[in-house]
Amino acid sequence: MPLIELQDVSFSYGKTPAIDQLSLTVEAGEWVTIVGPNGSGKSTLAKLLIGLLKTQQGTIQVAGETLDETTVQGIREKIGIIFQNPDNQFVGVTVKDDIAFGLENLSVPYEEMLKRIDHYSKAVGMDAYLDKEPSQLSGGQKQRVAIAGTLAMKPELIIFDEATSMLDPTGRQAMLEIMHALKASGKTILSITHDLKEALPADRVLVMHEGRLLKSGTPRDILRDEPLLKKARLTLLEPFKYMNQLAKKKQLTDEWEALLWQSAFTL
Amino acid sequence: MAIRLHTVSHTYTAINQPAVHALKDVTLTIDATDEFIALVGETGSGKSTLVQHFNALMAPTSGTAELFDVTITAESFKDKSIKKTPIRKRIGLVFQFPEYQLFEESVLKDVAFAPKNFGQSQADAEEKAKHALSLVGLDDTYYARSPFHLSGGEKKRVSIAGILAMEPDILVLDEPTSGLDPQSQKMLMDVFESIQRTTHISIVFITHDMNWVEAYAKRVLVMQSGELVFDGAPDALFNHPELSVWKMDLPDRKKVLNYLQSQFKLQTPMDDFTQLLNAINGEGDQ
Repeated sequence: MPLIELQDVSFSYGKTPAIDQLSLTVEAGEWVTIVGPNGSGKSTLAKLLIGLLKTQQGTIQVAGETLDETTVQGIREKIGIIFQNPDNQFVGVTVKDDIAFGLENLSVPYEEMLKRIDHYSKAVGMDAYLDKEPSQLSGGQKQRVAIAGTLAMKPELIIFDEATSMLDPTGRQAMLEIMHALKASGKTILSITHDLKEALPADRVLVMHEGRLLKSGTPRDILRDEPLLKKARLTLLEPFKYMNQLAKKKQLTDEWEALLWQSAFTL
Repeated sequence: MAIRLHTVSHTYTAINQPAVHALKDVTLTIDATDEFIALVGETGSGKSTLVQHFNALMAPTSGTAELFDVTITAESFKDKSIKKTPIRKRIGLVFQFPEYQLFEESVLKDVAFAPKNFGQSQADAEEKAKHALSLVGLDDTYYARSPFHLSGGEKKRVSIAGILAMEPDILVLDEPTSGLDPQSQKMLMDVFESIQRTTHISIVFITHDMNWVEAYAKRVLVMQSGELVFDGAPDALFNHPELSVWKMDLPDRKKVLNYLQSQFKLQTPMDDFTQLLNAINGEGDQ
């Protein structure tokens, strides 16, 4: 049974369809990256999954349960989401408060709460900052606190909605390392981005355009597909340009392909 | 020189908080024409504080900022007889996410707002707005449209046109491509390049993306912990031994070429992939 299953889901803001008969599945433990341009429906999809928006057509199932008014509360507890702007999701007065916020809503006992704050602040490398205020943190540090707060609620799926796009290179790198650690610990990751570098470590990449799924495939398939990426207003990463350049001259050996693939991880 | 900062320091102080030295002894000059400058540095390095000294939104705690014919110091900043508005008109600053500040019912009205506010007649303001919109690549089919129903990239262009309509000598942009998809980012950078080429105004843009620095900037300023640690050509920066100390990235192209070059144990740095292939095949030595 897939963790997430969408069947013919549609959603429109007014007359403009944002999601158009979309069907897809995400397996438990999978790292799926959804790429697409501004306005392709990526963020609408995330909002539908956490029940912030209601599907107008089709069904969404999470761990076998159909999402509706009666199940939305339980399903929300299974899904954590990290948004783009670090300043819009920091609700606590201090780092500690911020991590505790979601736990208080879930009525987690005090002793257990302290344990989780300790554990998850360490997991994201923010344990030395527990008494700091948001004004004393960088954007990347705020995002790590947001992740700790989300993880503390023990979700099965974590959605990253353009979560690295406002960070500097150091902040972005730290986020990617956390995503790798989450994957290794068995969490399911759904990353929504227009940065193709974040598609490299995924198990599967979905390309969205105008509310529809253009293609689903492995990073190796998707990242070399120039016409597909062009249609989705994305730009080929440098190593894949070189791969295509060699392929055109019939010089793309297995060695070259492996080497260029490796080089992409230096980005 | 249009902007001349001399040993500018800026310290943020708040009750019960340690003082934050956001700028330390920054000295630099920026010309009124034909500059295309990238300002880089990690989060908290002082980039945004620095650009707010470019148009007298902030005053140095110590040091002087000569902005055209006005000298701003900690003391003169408080002097009401020194008008800051003309400086802010000549040095236009576009904040990050300027599209959040769009408010008029039509694109043309929104762009005409600033020149009207600065005392232009309705007709003159609209004329300037139309010209500014053409500079950012938006034609007359956009004039009557609501700014709220445009794409992210279009909204950014409308808000930048709003600053351009004031006909600044210098345009300063704080992370102008933030939040846009790759193609919209490139389109916007191309717009800046064409504005620069046609009007010869100077442009300063803050970015984290070294690909844009490599592709567009003629000069790059690097901030680290409030200090200006580098002021020079992008190429000189990418080959600078302290690049990693400043936590600066390389452009994607350089990262990949450097990796391949080290795998093939080639000594000379390569400019592009074709050159690398030639070197591997032994054709580069002849």
